[in-house]
Amino acid sequence: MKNIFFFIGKGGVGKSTTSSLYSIKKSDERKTLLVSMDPAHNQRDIFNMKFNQDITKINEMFSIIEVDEEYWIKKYLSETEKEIKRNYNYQSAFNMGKYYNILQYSPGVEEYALVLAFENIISKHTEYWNIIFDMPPTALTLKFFMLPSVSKLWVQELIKLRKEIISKKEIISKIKFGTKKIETDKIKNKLDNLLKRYNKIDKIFKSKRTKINLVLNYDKLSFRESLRIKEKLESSGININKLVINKVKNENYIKEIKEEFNHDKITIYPFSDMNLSGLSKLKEYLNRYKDEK
Amino acid sequence: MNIIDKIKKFFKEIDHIQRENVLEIVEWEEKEVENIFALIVLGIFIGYPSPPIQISLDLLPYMEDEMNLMLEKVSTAHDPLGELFSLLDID
Repeated sequence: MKNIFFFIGKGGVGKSTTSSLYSIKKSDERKTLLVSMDPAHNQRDIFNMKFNQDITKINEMFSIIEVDEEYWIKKYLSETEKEIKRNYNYQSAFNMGKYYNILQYSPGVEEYALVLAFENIISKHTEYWNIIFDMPPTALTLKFFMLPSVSKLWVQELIKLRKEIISKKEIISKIKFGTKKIETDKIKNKLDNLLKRYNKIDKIFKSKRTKINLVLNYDKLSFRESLRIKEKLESSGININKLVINKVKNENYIKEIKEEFNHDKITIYPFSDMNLSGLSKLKEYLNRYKDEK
Repeated sequence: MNIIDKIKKFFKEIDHIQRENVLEIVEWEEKEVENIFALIVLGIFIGYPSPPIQISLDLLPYMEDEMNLMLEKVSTAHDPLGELFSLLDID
């Protein structure tokens, strides 16, 4: 496992711009992969290029991927359907194909698609030292980070229920056949696997090598929302690594931000009149402000 | 009434019985679909909490028996006493 960075924050604060600038900077030292998780996919406009699920190499050290949420939802639903067909005797009982169109819009599916993409990217692209995720706006991002811990709670409770069922089955078997041996419980096995999986993702979110950068501007709405994001994540044991203050016009209020957030690690991206579009412009910006913190 | 009229009447009655039977089946099916619909939409209000969708979907391939049992339960839901009596073997 290498370094994972998330750029999160309110819509419009500059998550895509700051994550692309940060990726370019990081790729000077080590191989870096920038992943656009925001369905709005602003990286296309920033780099003036089209990206997709496959790696697009900007240069030897820097690549970009765009996560296609819909692809992951469809893949997941079709794999579930195949699994049902493999296991069920009475196949016509549940024809998932019919429910595709509505299941993909069920609450929870969108963030799960992001989790599937996240798992796939970090296990597949191990050659990159830094993987930087440009995240969607607050609501979806929070659901994404909460998904493993919420799912873990559910799975743990379901495992308790399953154990109860198994012990009752064992009693019945003992009375009927004189032996406690019963068939392996597939559902319990699946639940155990799910618990392992969610534990693993939760551990990654809370690992020291995972750094969550909260992007904000100095305006009341962005300020307040960022405070709420910080509180919400901290309540589930996920800590903010750094505050990234974007579009900074004067630094008088930095002290106030530090105090309000009770946070010392801050990166400042000064406001620029330049149109930050294309790799050369982004590099020009970085060169101009390279002495800034 | 001549023989032809009698035959006509006979077939008319057969037709009537068949229609009644078909109607009964369709009515039963319609009730079943209504029960399932209510369970899906309102389950949460009668003590069926719904887990995150991906957990339900991940477990679904291993729950054929449970699915069948649930459908069976839906069909006996209108007669819980009957189910209890049959469980206790009371005629």
